[in-house]
Amino acid sequence: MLVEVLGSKVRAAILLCLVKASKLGISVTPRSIARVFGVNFTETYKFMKNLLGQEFVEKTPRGFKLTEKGLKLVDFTLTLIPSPKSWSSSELDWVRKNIPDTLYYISRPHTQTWFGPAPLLLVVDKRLQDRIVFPENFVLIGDYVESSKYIVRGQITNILVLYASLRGREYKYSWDNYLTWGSLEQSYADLLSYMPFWEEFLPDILLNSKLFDLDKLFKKASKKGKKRLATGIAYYATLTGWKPILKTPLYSLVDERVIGRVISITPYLLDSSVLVSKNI
Amino acid sequence: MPYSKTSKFERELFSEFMRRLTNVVPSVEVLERELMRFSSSIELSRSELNQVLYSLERVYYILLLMRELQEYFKDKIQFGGGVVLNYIFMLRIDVPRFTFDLDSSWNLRVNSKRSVLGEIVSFNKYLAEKYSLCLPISSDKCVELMIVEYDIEKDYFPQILSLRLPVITRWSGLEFYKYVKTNTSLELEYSTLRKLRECFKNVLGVRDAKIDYIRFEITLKPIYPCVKLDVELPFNLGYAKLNITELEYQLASKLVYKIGWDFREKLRDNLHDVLKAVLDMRLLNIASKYKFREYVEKLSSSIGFKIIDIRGNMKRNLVELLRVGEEFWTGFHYILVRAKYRDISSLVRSIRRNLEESLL
Repeated sequence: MLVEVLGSKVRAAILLCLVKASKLGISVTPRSIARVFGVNFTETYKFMKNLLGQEFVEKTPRGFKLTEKGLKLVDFTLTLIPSPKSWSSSELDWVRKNIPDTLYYISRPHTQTWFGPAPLLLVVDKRLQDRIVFPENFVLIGDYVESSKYIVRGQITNILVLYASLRGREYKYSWDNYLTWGSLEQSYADLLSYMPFWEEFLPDILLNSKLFDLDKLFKKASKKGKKRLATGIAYYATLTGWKPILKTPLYSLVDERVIGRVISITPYLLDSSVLVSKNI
Repeated sequence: MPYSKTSKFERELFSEFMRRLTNVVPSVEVLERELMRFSSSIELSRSELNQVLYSLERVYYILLLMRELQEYFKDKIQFGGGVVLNYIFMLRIDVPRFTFDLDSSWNLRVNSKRSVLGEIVSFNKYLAEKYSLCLPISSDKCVELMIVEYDIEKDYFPQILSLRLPVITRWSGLEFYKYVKTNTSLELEYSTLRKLRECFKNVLGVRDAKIDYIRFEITLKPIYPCVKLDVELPFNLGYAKLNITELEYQLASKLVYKIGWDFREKLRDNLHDVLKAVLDMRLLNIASKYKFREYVEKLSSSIGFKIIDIRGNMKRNLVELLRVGEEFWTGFHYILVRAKYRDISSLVRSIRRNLEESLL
């Protein structure tokens, strides 16, 4: 409905971003909108200039934001964002309506098959730190690790939040569900780097390694994430004789301290009859 | 023509590989020196000498692997079996039989193989840092060799972990390009193939180097008595302090579980193992007879046997070995022993006499 009413994806993208960013008192740039929404940059810039000419937006040192006049568009625009279907997450609907789409993305286990429902990782631009008041069920990564309250996942916590710089990260807005998602490699790199139960995402990567650009995965991961990934790959290579073809020097990144956690996923890497008969 | 940035990177990749290759693969001079030592007391034809030389390349890697395992795992691991008996003990007194599987045991209690496999990942890091042998398969990517893998196809027993180490050889195994294709589904480009052949020709003296597996096993529930031995390893591999299962214990278990075992109708299937054990019994000459007998008694009683039973089984098994053993005797593994003793019957009889005396 959003695109149909506003007439084009460019307009919808700009209005969505301006409205949500202005609610938080920050600016957006045509370049980031064009990149995240996958729309034409020239068209984006042209429409922004139109809005500027009509005094709906004003120029700031860091981009554009809505003027007093423009703020009148907020409620109207927000009503155009589709509501979730009955089965989809209310937390994601909150993200959809409140966080500017160029300033966050969600890392999810794209190929997850093994561990059932797990919290999603919401990576938010660190510029928004202290500007957002998250509802219940959104927990900052640091708090999650520290508090036993969140140990039973999937029941209490649905979204873990990480504030970080978004520079160099790969994410795109989805016109299907009106949310911004990390790319396959970016998502798994984040899940391995920041999630408290990171090892649970290794089987997805190891069993579907052909879907991944493993070198890119290494590039996107944090220092810790690189070590976890390298140890996971090295263990799987030892276990199965798999020969990963990499530019990244794998074994220099292997971390003995995480091997214990990596071997705990063995039941998800081999057939159970093999595990039992060979006592693995 | 000026080199592009990529070709400079590529040249470095290949020259690094060549440098690493030189450090890892034994030179022909080293192999020939050992060939002379192994065969100094016997006469071999030219073709037999070549066969021995080819096998020595694999023996080199087995001993290198044993040295590295010991250096890395220290008291967590100890070695025994054919490799230790033939390449550590036998070389002092007689010619060895060839054997290519390294047996070891894990000295820590573990519930499943995955714990040891985790330790192997750390060992692989150690190997990768020490040898770093990555076979270039394109201008910027390579496949790691000299990295231990779980050998699931050969892993039959719950308490024995079978492993293998892919190494570059001159004469045995799969051609390197076939290995790459089998293991990665990648067909090497002609330019890469040409460069690798050039590397191999310069370092190894063969264009189509091969990749072979050095296989080894780790037993998870050890009860074996251990001694520490300072050993000078062949092939200029230097001195090593090895944890070895006591020689007398090894010989006693070969007697009880092979030579003196009641195989019943399966004797024919096990005769080859009996022959190997008999040949290893030449080491009784340097073992303590007292300790040997003590271990034989202990091991026999643990399975409800008496020495007299073992002797009876031994007699029956050796009669059968003398009757049909010729067919195993002609096998390549016995090339050195055969050249020295020629006749299997007299050798088996003399070892049997020695065993009988030790069991009196």
